[in-house]
Amino acid sequence: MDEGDWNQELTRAALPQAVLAVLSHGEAHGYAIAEILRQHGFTRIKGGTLYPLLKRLEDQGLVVHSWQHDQPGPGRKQFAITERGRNTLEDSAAAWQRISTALTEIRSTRQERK
Amino acid sequence: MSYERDLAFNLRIRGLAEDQIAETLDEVRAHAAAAGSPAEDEFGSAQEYAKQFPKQKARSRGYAVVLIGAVLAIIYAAVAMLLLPFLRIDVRDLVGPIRLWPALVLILGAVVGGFLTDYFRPLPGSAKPA
Repeated sequence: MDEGDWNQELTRAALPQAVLAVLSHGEAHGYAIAEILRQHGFTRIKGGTLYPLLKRLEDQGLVVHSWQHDQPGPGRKQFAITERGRNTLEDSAAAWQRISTALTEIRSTRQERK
Repeated sequence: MSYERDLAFNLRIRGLAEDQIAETLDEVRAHAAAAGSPAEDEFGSAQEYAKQFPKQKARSRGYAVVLIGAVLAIIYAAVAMLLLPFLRIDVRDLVGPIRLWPALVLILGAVVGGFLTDYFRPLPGSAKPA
C-alpha cells in the first residue's frame, strides 16, 4: 500500500468526524465545509464525496439542512449539527484518540515474543 | 444543462423521486457555482455520481413504458401462436413470413420510448426551501 492509498483510507475514515467537527463551530454550506477541511490539511474533498456523506449524517439525525436564497443565483444548502451529532462527535473523537494512543504504544513498546 | 439532464436520467433509473432529484440538482448547481468549476469536475460523471445514491424500489415512467411494451409483445406472441390451431387464422398472411416480428418491434419501440421518456422528461423544478 503506497502513501496515496494510506491517505485515502485515513481520509475516508476521518471524514464524518471532521465534517461534524467543522459544523460544531457553526452552520456552513457544502463548499465552505470542503474549504475548511482543505485549510486544515485534508486533500480537496469533492462534492461527489461530500454530499452523499452529509446525506448519510442527516439520515442518522446528526445533521440538519436548510436552504438559503438570500443571494442571486442558486440557493445555498446550509448544514448544522444537531445535539445528537455533538454527542456522536464526542464519542468518535474519544474512539479516535484511543486508537491513536494504542498505535503510539505499539510503535514505541518492544513486544516480548512468547 | 446536459450534465443535469444526464444526472436526472441516471437518478430516475435508480428509482429516486422527483423531489429528491430536484434537491440533488440544486445541490450540484449551488456547489458548482460556489466552487466556480464545472459540475463534472466536482461530482464526477453523472453516471458515477448517481451510483452514490441507493437504488429505490420505485420505478420510473420510462420503466413503465418498457414494461407495457413487453407485456403487449407477449400478448401478441401468444395470440399469434394460438390463432392458427384454434381459429385457423394464420397471422403470416397479415405480417409476412416472420410471425413474431411485430413483437420484436414492440419491445424495441418500448425500450427506445422508455429511454426517451426518462431522458427528455423536463427537469424537476427547484426543491422548496426546507
